[in-house]
Amino acid sequence: MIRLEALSRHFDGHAAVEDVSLEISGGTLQVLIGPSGCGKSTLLRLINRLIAPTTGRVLLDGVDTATLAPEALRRRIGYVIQGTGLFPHLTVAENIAVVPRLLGWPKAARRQRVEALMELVRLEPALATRYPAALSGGQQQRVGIARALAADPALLLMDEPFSALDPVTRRQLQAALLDIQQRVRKTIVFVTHDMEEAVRLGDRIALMQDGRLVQNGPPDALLRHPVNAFAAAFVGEERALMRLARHSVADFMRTEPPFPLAAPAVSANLPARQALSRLLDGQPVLLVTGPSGEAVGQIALQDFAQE
Amino acid sequence: MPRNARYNPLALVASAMALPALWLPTFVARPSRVLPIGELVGLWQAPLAPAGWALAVLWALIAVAALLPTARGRAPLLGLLTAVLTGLLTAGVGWGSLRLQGDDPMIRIGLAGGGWLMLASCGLVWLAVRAEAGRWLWLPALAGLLAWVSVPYGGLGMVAEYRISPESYHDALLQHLRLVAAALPLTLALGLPLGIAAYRWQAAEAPVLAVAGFLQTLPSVALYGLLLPLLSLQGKTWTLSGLGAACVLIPLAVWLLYRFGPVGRWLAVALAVSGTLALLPLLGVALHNLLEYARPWQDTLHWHQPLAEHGLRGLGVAPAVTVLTLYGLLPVVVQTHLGLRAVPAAAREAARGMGMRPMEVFRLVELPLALPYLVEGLRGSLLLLVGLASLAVLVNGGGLGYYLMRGVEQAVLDMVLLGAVSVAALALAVDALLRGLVQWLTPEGVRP
Repeated sequence: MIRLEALSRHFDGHAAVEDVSLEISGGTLQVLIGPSGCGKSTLLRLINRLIAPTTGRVLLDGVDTATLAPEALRRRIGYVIQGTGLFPHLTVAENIAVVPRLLGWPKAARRQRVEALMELVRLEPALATRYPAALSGGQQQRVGIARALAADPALLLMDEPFSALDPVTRRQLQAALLDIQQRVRKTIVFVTHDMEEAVRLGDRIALMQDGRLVQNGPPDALLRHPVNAFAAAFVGEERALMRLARHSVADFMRTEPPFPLAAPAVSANLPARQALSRLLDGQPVLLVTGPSGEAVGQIALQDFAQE
Repeated sequence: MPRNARYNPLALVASAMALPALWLPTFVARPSRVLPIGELVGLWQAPLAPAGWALAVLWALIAVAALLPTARGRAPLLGLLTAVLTGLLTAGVGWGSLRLQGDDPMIRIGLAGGGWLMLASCGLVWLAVRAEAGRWLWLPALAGLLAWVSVPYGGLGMVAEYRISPESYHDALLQHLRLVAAALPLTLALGLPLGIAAYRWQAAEAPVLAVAGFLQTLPSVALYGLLLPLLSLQGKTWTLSGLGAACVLIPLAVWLLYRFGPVGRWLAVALAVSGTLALLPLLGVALHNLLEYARPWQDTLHWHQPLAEHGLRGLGVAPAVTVLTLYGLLPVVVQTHLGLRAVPAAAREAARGMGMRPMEVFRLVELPLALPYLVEGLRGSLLLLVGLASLAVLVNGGGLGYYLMRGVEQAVLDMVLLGAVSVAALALAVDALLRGLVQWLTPEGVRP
């Protein structure tokens, strides 16, 4: 668990982060979002002390991080940045094993860990001996994530990790991150400026403006009840559509029989947006099927309007 | 040259260059050592004619081979032809000069325009083979070596000049190498920290690069003139014990000054720089003597006698090594600075974010990525030093420059040639060696 207490950071009199207090409970994926220059990256770097706070404190499991040596602290926190920051002169395996090496793990343990992590982020074992330049952007960022998880830190900081990738690769990596999070349950602080990404990934979203925290809560709360005009404007006119990013067909379908067995079938865990798209294409109704293909419900346009 | 190019342009240019060389005079036979003019001998004249035919055929074959498609074995064929050419030329220079000299040892044989052009064309074909497939270079290298060891070169004027006194040539060569070897560690010891400082501290960047660049623009003769009174004074007035005391007191003063605000910091930097500069000539002399006498001082150690007793004078090794050290700085400083700047910012940020200490960032990330640049700086600096050490003779520092200066003074062309060819050969050898080292040290992941 992390607690930020009245954190401020000033650069030459200008406040990059001003009086931010935030509590992130263990296993949560906390998104920090806001327009560029709002202080979200600075806030992230205050957590692992790449930047020292002007005032305020950061508590990690109740321990004030100012009392720890910054390097020792950072070795306990995973860190993923935009454009990966992989070391070009080291192979994939050596890149992943950097922190274990700094921590003095024996060679056999490092190799085992690298194998396990490459499996976790779904990288082929054959890539272990390749250099970063030989990988695609998506593969590189998978290595970046594996590297950050190498010493099994409880906390993972991610600074716009996917924003340099093309949309298709970005969606794949978002799915990969959710999959990894399901399996290893880390506390993740994720910085982005992309609202759709935030809604898709975040358990909680903290919106920032001019160094201050504007609103923090679950995505639905932010989308439905923005606290002020800025929040409403940032969430945007499409906020109703955006909520669909988190939902699947199962969340909207009607389960009362009779089912329209003649209508085209969709799976219950299809993203709600895709079902909506097909309905808007002119399908009056869709049959919803379960894991083994049996009919479990139906969905039509008016079902999205309820709730 | 792109792989599988339709023809080898370098080899074609070389053949074209060799064409006039077939008709221009190849050798010149001067009746004595000091006479500048002599009889010109061409390839088609009496003793050389067979070699002339052979060369003409060889060059024609090379031109044809250059036009062959790669798949038809262009690379090995060019390698083979170049080997024959190299062997023929290497042996031909020796045999030809011996035949022309006849039995009059006073006659001096030298290469004339055509001869030099032919050698240059041969060098170009080597480059052509390297561009085609570097692995075939061993063939011409072997041929050249075989011809070199099996043919006598006594007829060549340059060799005759060497034979007048092989001892003094060896002395000059060794002294040349000693000067370079004494200056190089000092250049690195100054240049690397300066390059790192120029990268680390914004305030240091402009002045450091400017000073290193300015040192290069100073004519070395002017620098020698400037140093002469200074070093002479230092040699007469300073003693080893005094210098030892300074070595303790100056760092102490620097350390103290550094703690007194911005002004103190500037004073500290100024003191550190001048202290280092004052120590430089003595270190140079010590390193040189270490190489010559296997100990850093020439005779007995005198604590309380002037440094001049230990060889620190206005003329001699002290100014020679000092000037070389200062001239060698620029490539090292610039390449160190460049290499560190070439490290991707994201890699450095990630290294810090993963919990590397500053020294670990340097050792594990910055140094390996900058290493090829550093060796490139070492190469540039070493080449400069090998060339510039020829000027040490101006301040009585010795070296191969002796042959250049004496040769010009006495108007003995062969003597100048002996010095010039030796320096050029040294530079080429150093260059080839360090290019290989750069290749080898470039991390695999960042190789082009």
